[in-house]
Amino acid sequence: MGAGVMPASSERGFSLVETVVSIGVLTVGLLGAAAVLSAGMQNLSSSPGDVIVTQKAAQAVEAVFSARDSHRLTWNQILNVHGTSDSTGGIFLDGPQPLKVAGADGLVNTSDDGAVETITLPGKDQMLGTSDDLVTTLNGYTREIMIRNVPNENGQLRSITVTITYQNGPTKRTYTLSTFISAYS
Amino acid sequence: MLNISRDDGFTLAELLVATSVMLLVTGTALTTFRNALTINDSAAQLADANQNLRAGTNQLIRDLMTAGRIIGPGGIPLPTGAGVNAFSRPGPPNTTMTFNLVTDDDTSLNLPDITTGYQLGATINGSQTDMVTIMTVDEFMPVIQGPPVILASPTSIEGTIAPDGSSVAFPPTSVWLVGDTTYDTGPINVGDLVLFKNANGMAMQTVTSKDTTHIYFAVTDWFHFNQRGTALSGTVLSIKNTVDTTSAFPTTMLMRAVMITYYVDNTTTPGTPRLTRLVNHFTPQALAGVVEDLDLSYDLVDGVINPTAITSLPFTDVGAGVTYNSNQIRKVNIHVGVRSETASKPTQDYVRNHVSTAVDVRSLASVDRYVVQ
Repeated sequence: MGAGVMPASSERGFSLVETVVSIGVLTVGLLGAAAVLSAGMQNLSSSPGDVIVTQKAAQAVEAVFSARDSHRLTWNQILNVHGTSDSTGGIFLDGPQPLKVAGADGLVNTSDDGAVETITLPGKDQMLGTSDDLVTTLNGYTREIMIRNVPNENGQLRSITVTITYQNGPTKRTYTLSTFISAYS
Repeated sequence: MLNISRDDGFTLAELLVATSVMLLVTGTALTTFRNALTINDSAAQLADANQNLRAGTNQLIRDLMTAGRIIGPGGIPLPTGAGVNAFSRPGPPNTTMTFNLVTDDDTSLNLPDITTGYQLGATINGSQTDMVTIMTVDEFMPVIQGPPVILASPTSIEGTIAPDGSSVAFPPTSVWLVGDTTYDTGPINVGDLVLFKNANGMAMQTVTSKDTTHIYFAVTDWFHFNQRGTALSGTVLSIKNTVDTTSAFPTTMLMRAVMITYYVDNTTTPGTPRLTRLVNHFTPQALAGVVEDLDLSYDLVDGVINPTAITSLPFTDVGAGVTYNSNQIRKVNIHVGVRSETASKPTQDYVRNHVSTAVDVRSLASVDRYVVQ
């Protein structure tokens, strides 16, 4: 090293260790971004279920209204079987129930319900009724109908709370629909 | 003189290690990027399918909820008697259908509030879709009263029905002729249905032409609702105090009736069937994209058997020997299936979603009650 030579230190590159460490940091960052992607994907995959549960909750409530309007049920039957001490003796099963199709009474969550609901899709040949049809059973879903007398309404007004849960990958999602039903139709 | 040693590069071993680490990182990044593209594609298809499902079911449910509004569970009487032509029913392109009327408690046959259409729609993927026709009354169109309280000077919501039922005369300012700017309601149009309701009952006619003072109901209307004759029942003449063509109509309310037909149309856009909503016999409107399945069934009530999930009406319960018709519908069960517009790339298949739901036909539950516990 003689006089007039530029200081070599300013031209020194990164050492191997530095490079490896920086690439390591970059990898961690990239993996983090990938995790966000997978979380997004999971949320997305729940969207068909979200559409289904809103309609399933509405279906339960509409069936109760229809039964009241058509006098198929008496007012006293529009309660849970056990319920609470002041809201009891009805026909709607307590607690979460599998997503079964309605029985002969047209009402869901009652003792005469049929099998768990299924969806038949045509499969890759795009034709229904062939061997590659995909049958999806709505197994991961539960539906709870809770009917309670509203206090101080002389038993003429009840709240209906339909809670639907469904499994989406590792997470459990819940949809709740609350409404009221009156003895006056 | 430059010091060469300071310019030394990496050794071969260092270079190899660095390159392999770099390869590994770029490889992971590229894989992630490819996954992102796939997910993005699936997301677009899924969102498309779900949006179709939502759009289709929501409008259908809303229309079913209003079925029979003001009309009541019995339906609307249509001309009945010798020589009456069958009534045309709107439907998918290139189909010719007629309405199946139901028996009323008087001599006329009625058009039900909900006309079922089991397997009358397009066949898609080897399964046949259903259709349905809903009758309701437009709640936004102002009601017209005829005859005017002061005959010589009718107000904008009054009109005079011709004694033979062939036209209605309005003042030039009538909301039915010029529209109602306050409530943003358009005027009545050719092709609209007019429901006549008074103490003697109901009748319905189709507007075939209009001018600045009249709307006309020529007997040549597409539906054949305008058939009139003193020998027939269920015509507009039948709701007069005296069934003739000369006496004036008693106090009658005129409303705009709306006939809404839903079907899956696979003719206009073959391969990408659309859920179509058709008002009266106007231009069909495609509501939702690729709808592959539309199945409807009905829960009926008679207080005894209460059959559920009946697909077509009239329906006869053989065991009980009872025939049910459309005016006993209390709940409609709907099944709609959709798919994405295009196939998803990774699976080479369409993204599909199906939903079944139910709707209580509120306007048909006309029995009020009060329960004391």
